[in-house]
Formats: sequence, C-alpha cells, structure tokens
Amino acid sequence: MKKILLIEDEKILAEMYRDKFSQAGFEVFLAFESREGLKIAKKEKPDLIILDILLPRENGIVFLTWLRKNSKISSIPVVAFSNYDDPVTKKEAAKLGVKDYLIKTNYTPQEIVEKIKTYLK
Amino acid sequence: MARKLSQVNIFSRRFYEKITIGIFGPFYIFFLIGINFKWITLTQEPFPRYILLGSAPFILISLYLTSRMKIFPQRMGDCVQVIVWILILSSANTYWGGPMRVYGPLFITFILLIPFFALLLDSFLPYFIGGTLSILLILDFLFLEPISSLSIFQLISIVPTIFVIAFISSSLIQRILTEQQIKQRLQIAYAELKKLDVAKSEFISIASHQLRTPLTAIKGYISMILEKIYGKPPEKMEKPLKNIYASNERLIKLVNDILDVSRIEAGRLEMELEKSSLEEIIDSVIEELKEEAKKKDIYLKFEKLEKPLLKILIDRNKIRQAILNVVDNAIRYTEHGGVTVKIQNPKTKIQIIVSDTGVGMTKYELSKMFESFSRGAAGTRLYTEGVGLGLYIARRLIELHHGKIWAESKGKGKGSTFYIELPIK
Repeated sequence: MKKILLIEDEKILAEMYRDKFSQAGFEVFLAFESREGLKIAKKEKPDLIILDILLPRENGIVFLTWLRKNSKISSIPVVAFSNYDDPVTKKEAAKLGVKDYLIKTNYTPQEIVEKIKTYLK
Repeated sequence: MARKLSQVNIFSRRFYEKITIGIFGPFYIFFLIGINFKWITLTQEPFPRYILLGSAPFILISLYLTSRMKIFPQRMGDCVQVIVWILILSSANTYWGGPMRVYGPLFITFILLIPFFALLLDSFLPYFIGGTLSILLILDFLFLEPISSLSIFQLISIVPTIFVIAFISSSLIQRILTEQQIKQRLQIAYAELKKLDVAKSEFISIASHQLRTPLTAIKGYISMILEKIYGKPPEKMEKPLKNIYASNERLIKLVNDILDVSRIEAGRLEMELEKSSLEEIIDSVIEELKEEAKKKDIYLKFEKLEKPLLKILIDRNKIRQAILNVVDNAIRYTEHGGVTVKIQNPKTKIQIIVSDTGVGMTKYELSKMFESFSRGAAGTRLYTEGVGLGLYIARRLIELHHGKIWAESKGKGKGSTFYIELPIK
C-alpha cells in the first residue's frame, strides 16, 4: 500500500481528501502544518507528499527547502496543492522541484487520485 | 471686467508682460518711426541704428509670442524675450556712452546669463527685467538726451542690477523650497501607492485562497457523493446535486476570471513564450468543451488547414485560455446549429475564426463585446450566465501577443463570428 502524506491546514479539506485517498487504496497521513509534516515525512518516508502552500507559521515553500536539505527524505516527490496561485510562488515551488502545482478548485478528488497514480508510476 | 488696483499682483508675470507690451511696444515702434522721419535726432554718434532696426523683428515676434504664450512653449518665449533685451541693451549701451561703457560690460554679461536663469527659474524673471528696462529706457530718452547727467546713468545701471540679483536669489530660494515640497509630496504619494499595491496583492491572495477553500470543499464532497462514495443517494437527489455542482463550477470560474482580470490589470502577468502549434492548442480546447456542446445538442468542429501550420512563438497557456474563452462564449450563446473553428494563414499573420449559428449581436453589443463586465442587452439573452469577463480576458491576452481580436455579426439571430489575429513570430 502506497503511503501519502497530505500537509493541509484546512481541516475540512484534509478530512475530505483523506476519505477519498483511503477509499482509493492509499495509506494517508495528515499534517496540519510544516513542522509536523517534516516529522511525519522523516518517520514514515511516504511515497508522495501533497503539500498545501499557505500554511500557518512556515509555509509550503519553507517546508520544501527543509525537505530538500534533509538527504534521507529529499528525494520524496512533492506535489504542490494549493488555491494560492501566485506566479512568483509557483516559480519558487518549481525551482524546488515540485512535480506539479495543482489548484485545488480545478480538480475533483477523483481527478486528484488519478493524477497521484500517474505521479507514482 | 474692471479690476480693482488691489487685485493687481506686481509679482505676477502677467503684470510685466502688460508693461512690456503696453508701454514699451508702442514706444519702440514710435521711436523707430521717429528716427526714420527724423522727428528724433540722436546727439551721440555713432548710433548703431542697425542694431535697433535689426531688433525690430525680434521685438515683434517676442510681443506676438508673449500674447500667444499659451500655445507656445513657455521657455522658448522667454529665450526670445531675453535675446531681445540683450539687443536693446547693447544698443542702449552704445547710445548712452560715458559711464555705461564702464558698467556696460558687467551689466551685459549679467543680462547674457538671463537665458540660463530663464531656463532654470520660473519665467517671471525675464518679464520683470523686461518691464523694468522698458521704464528705464523711456526715462533715458525723456531725461537724458538734453542733460546727459552721470548720476542718472549710474542709477540706470545699478537699479536693474540690484533687481536682477534680488530676483534671482529669491527665485532660487523659492525653487529649492518648491523642489523640497514636491519631493516630500512624492514620497508620501509613493508610500501610499505601495500600501495600495500591497492591499491589492492581499486582495488577490484572499480572493484566491479564502474564496476557493470552501468552493473546493463543496466541489469535492458533491463530486464524491455523486461518485457514490458515501453510498447511493436517492435518485430524486441526483439532479439537485448535479445542479449544486454546476453552480459551484460557475462560482469557481468566476473567481478564476476575477483573479485573471486583477492580475492583468496589475500588470502581473508574465509571458512564457515557446514555439507552439496552434492546431494542438485548438484541439485541446475542443476536447475540453465538447461535453458542453454535447449537453446543448449542438455541434463543435475544427476545420483544419490541409497543410499544418508552423509552430509560432506564443505563451501557450495564455493563447489557449483566450481561444477557450471565445469558443466557450460561442457555445454559450448558441442554441441550434453549432460552432465552427477555422484557421486562416495570410502571409505574416494567423487568424483563428470562431463562427457560430447563435443569437448574433447588434452593433452596440459588438462595440461593448470585449470590455470588462459587459454582456448582451439585459433580458435579450435568457440563457446567459457569467458576467462576461471571458472575452475581456481574451482580448487582453491577445493584446499581450500584439494580436487583435474582434467580432462580426449580421445582426440578431444571424450568428456571430469572432476573429483572433496573431502576428507570426
């Protein structure tokens, strides 16, 4: 069973995606902020991280820089997943090697699952 | 309109203009005529008549320009004036003789600097000097010719010198003070603008994040309910659920459009140019919108050219969005028949032509088509939705590529044709 870490501060959205991802056969870990996310990433070594960008305290970009510095987890693929689509932030995320930058409202959970499957191939 | 004496501002440029034009002008003309007809005899020789006569056109031009100052660049007018006063002074200097030969060079040097001051300072100064000298010259001719007194010569040369110094220094001080004030105001305005810019960016972020978050939840949950993840919903509920989903999609689209518009208007759109195939872009647009057309039971087709087009340098996503918006608009306003997309390739341009068999447009609607927040006349389009940002966004995106977008229609009920024209790069 593939492990997915979802870092998402909006509780409703986090629960919704957890429902969908579990139903689609993934093992889902939830984190509500960057530090917690980093801890879980180190512990669980997920196959994919789905990362919200606007997070309380350190944002998703900061999380990415932390992740890339830590050699044990730096190779985990990350998909930025946010409703914040500022071009500058998008570029920064791209520089830090995200697989994709998805705008949440543009996809149904089912479409996200399909995307995740292609990323995990 | 009579003006009270107290209303006359002796520090105004107009005041001295009036003195120059009103007193000196007629006097000078009279003087020239006087010499010519020997009404006036000049005691001191050699009198450089050619200078006086030569300055006449300058005087006239200067007077003309002064009276028409509003349409003539001010500084140029000032310079012409100053040249005229130099000529007058040099003639007066020779004529005066005596002590003016001592003070003269100094005085003239000073006067020669006036064009620079005139350029540097506000233009009040040359007029002041002009006005003062007019009076002095008249005094000169009235009193000096018979008596030829030294003390008056000195007075004549000293008085304007003092005036000139006083006015230059006061004008300089004034100028420095004004500059400081302007700087301060600019700084305040700049700070205000920065604040507004931050507020706008914040708005964009709030609009995108805060509005989209609940929209995402609605979209996600409804889609999951429709996928029967939470069990099979009663059949009766399927349609309402689909309607909620569709309405939510409209809201999402609206938020996206508003974001696009605010970005375009804040000049925050960056161009990412790459060689792209228009056919591929149009194919993907058709792919995305064919469901929409199918739902309305209308056709949506793309008539390709026999020979495929060369790839052109464009921002793929922006051109795609522009074409998508135009085709989406065509589908929205078509109830029977359908929408056809074609490409034309005259020499240095590429035209994408989107024609529909829809409701058509009046001339007035055509003229408003590509503005923000406009749409067809109220009530005439019962099936419309959205606020009409799509075509405006399309226009701005096409304009970013130095292209053109326009629409034609033979009138109501006769369909419309939209043209997107891109230069080949």
